[in-house]
Amino acid sequence: MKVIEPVQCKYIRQSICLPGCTAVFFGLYYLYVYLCIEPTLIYHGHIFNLKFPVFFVDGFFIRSFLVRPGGFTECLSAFLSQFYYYSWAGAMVITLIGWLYYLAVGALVRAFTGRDVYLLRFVPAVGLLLAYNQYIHCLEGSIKILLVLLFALVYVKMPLHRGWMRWTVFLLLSALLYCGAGTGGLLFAWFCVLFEIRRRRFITALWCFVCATAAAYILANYFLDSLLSRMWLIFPMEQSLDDSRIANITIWSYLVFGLMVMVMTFLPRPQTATAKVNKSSSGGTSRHSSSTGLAVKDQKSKMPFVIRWSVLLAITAAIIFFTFDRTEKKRLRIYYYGYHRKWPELLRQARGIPVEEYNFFLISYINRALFYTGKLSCEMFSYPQTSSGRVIMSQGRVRLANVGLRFELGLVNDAEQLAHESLELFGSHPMTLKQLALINIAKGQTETACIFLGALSKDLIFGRWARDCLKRLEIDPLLMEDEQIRQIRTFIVTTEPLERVDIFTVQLQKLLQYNMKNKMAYEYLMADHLLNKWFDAFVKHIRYLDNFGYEDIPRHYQEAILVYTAQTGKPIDLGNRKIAYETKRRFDDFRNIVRANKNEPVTKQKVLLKDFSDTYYYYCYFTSIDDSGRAR
Amino acid sequence: MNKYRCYQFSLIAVAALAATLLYYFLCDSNWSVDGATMIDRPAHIRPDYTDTVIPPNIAPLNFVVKEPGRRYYVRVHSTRGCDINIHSKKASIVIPTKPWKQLLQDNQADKLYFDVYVENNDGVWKRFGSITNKISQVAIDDYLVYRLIKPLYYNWFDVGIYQRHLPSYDESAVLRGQSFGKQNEGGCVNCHSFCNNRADKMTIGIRDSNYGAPTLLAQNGKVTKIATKFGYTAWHPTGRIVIYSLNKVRQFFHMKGLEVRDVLDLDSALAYYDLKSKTVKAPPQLIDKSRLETYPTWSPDGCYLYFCSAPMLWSDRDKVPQKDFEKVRYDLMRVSYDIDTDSWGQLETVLTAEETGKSIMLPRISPDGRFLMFCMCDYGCFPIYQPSSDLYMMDLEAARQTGNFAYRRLEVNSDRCESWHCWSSNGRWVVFSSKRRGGVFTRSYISYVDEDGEVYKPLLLPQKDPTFYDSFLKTYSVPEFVVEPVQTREKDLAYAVCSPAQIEVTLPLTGATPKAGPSDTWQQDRE
Repeated sequence: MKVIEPVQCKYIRQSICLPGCTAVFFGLYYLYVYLCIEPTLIYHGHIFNLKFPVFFVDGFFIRSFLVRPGGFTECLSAFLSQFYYYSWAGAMVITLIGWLYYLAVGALVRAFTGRDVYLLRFVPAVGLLLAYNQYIHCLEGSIKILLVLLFALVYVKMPLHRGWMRWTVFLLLSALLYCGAGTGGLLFAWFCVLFEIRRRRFITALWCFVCATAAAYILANYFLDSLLSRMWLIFPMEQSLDDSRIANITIWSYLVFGLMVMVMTFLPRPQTATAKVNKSSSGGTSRHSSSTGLAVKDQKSKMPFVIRWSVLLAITAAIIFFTFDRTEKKRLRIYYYGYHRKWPELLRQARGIPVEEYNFFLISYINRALFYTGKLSCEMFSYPQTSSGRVIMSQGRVRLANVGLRFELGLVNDAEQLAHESLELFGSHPMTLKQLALINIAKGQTETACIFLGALSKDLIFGRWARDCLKRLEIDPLLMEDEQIRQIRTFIVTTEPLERVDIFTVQLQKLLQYNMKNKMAYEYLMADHLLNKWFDAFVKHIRYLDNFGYEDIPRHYQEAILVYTAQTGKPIDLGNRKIAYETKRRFDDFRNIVRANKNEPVTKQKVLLKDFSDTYYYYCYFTSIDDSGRAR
Repeated sequence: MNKYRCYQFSLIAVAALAATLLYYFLCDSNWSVDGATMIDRPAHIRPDYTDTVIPPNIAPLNFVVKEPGRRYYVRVHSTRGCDINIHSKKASIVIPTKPWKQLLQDNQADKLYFDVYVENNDGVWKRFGSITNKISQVAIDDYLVYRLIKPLYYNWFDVGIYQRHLPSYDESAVLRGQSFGKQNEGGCVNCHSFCNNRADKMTIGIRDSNYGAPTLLAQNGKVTKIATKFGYTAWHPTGRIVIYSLNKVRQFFHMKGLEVRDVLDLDSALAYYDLKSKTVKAPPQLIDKSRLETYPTWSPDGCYLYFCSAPMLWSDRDKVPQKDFEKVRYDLMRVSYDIDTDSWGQLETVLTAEETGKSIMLPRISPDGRFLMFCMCDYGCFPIYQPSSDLYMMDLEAARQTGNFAYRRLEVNSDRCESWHCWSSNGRWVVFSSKRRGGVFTRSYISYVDEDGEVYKPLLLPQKDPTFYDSFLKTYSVPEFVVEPVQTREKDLAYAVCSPAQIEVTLPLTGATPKAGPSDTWQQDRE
């Protein structure tokens, strides 16, 4: 049997096993990010998460970054973030960052300690995965950290030994880092100070420490008008206060890298080759080689490489499994499907979200999907319309999610207002620009639409659509051939009194009065009546079913009619339509259960929830009305 | 030998490359336009820099040729000096700055011509009729200060006041809301006002959820904060007092119509701040509870205050919108004032809304005291939100002689909103805001005004990139001419905002004390 010599083992490991394993790891990494995380969801969820950066191919736009500290990394991050529109491309970006972490940490550890702790290289990449598992878009911070690692590597590797020279280089690199990244000074200083301590150059370490603290303080407060936290921290404190998840990443990133550097600082130095030879010739056990960290010859074996590798994969898999935010993914998917008008897929996705995770954004999208699939009037209550949720949300950030709905209803001025609010608060996101362009086209303000399209034409993803639209507008300034625009124009109220009533119900009524063919306004109005238990208004509008070609009465309307009739004893003229037998039977069953469990509210709710949670009866029974006359 | 061959080969390759490039450029440099077909009309260009009067010290008027073609040649020339020849494969024409400045300097009071040639896909050149502009002999003020904001509703984040050097394209920030607002929350800056078109004395209004709604007063680089909000502000020509409006202003929205937003002053009055005594005063003529007083402006001699005043049509001063908001129309009033005795005369009506049928807003008087420019719109107090708002002019000199305050609508108006006008220090130029390009984004236009009060066709504030306005998403709000740059550092202004040090003032208004301090958007309430 041929014996593989230790040198050959080392060669095999170094040239085949290690790169191979690394390739496998990052291959799996990429596939996981692409197929499971789906970066496109982060792109589409911009309005509901932190501001997603925009990027325009425009000299003015790019220059606005480069004139300020940190602009370079912001610009790069903004550019790379656009790739998230396509999951495969976004996954490549994230994997690339992870791989660069792997390279940087490996080089840094080797330069720092003279050894190669292979598994340590993967830690930041796994940390990055952890962040994206939570759908936290931290690309800019990641690039800044990479820059810090790169600068630290330069500092560590430079062949200068005199203290003042090293200190000068430290200052220069700190300044460059500030210009390029605008921040990260603390982490960089941490690396440099501990490196100097490891090299027992304590004076230099002290000088570096003083520069990183006192000088930075003076610069920040007296010369640069910059907050010290912004200079030091990758994720400034103000941002951390806004989002606790960012705060968590901040803490974790500093812990991870800070600890890593500590470990590197106090790792025992590797033995020289002479010492190794002497030791092995005296029969002792050889230790790690100076470059690979692997046993060249290990009589008393350490953990084999395969096992170490398996442990890495297992830990990574465990982290992925336990930190993956499935609910957030489902929510983001709903926004994604909503944007792309994939309504059946949206509803399928909505089914998997726990009731307690519902929020106003979801309800809004779900109800829209129900309308477009013809199910708003018969399946609305199959989805949680929470006690404080209405068909349309009323204020604040939530309204910003409803630009599309307002537009489709014909409330174009509303939509315009909301879209402009979004523009101001969340920046010139291409989706917002697109909405504003369409709104202005619908209003006949072609020139204004062209300005939004002009801005949008510089976007990497939406630019082509914008340029095509501009060409179409040159030929057809009002886009008369666009079916959706034509239809919305028929819904826009032009004869009502000037002032807007800021009550959605009234707006819907005005829309209907103006155009009785506005089916969306009708269904939303009826849904609004049902949600608030306004039976009189509901009954008043039930006769308009004929306008919209309903053959039968939709299920929820039937249920509401039965409730109304039971409460008031008043019959309703349904014309040729009838209440379905099944609906009546369920109503009777519902009432029987209520009567039977009159004194057992918990049992009653449990039983009713099981069989009637998708009915209007259930909603009506368990929803109360507040002083303003609205459901809560 | 091998080395020698290498060198030979490299040399041949470089020579071949050079020859190719030379051939390419030579072929492509055939810009001969002799024999161009004459087209009997001027080329369409954008912005529309045709038949305007140009200041002799303005930056180049770059434009886009809106004629289809594959190559463009523009010759800029006048009577004297060298022609400027611009060859471009794109329709964007960028005029070099130095030759432009020289040409303008050499040809003041003369005409300036743009000869536009366009080559079509068949290689045939067309020459369009010359575009003609006139170069004025009168320079324009060197700086224009304005606020840049996106079309805003309830929230703001990125608001700032900027100054633009008109002989170039340089723009710098005077004060940005983000310089004192917290991260992710920008402060608002507004109502900037200068004394006699000079930047050494100015006020800027601030609105911020943390710092309230104070006013910054900058004098010769020193900044103080006054703990009250100055609305629409006008400096007395002596610089000793500043008059301002107090507005209980509310925004509301329209369900129909092109303009979504509207504004209503539920209540308003005028007061003035004495810089020496650091006190605020308000004469009874300016705080009539049955009237809404706003938009003050001084005559250049400081003897008269002109302002707008409307009857208050409602008793409930909290309801928005009011039932009769479309009936609010402002009159133009004036009252005499003696700065030395600090005494006010009787109110006089200059022009009523009843006479004009419209609401009179924003009076501004030329520095020579001859002309009063104002705007009028169908109703209301905020002309920039009124598509019907147009600019008008009144000859005060003629009015003094005839006793008749005749006025005329200016021809510079469009079918969109024109407002926020400002005179240059020499009274020969006026800048105003217009929404003529689309109806949403306000841009700044500059017009020449001659001695007889004729206002010439406006020109859009030029930009280095001629397509700049085709994608710029901010509005130019309240443009003001200043003769010099604002020297006060942004850092000092921001520091003053954040500093707790401020001048406390009390308004001697009975039952109408405005609440400053951390307050809502827009508002300064009257109790």
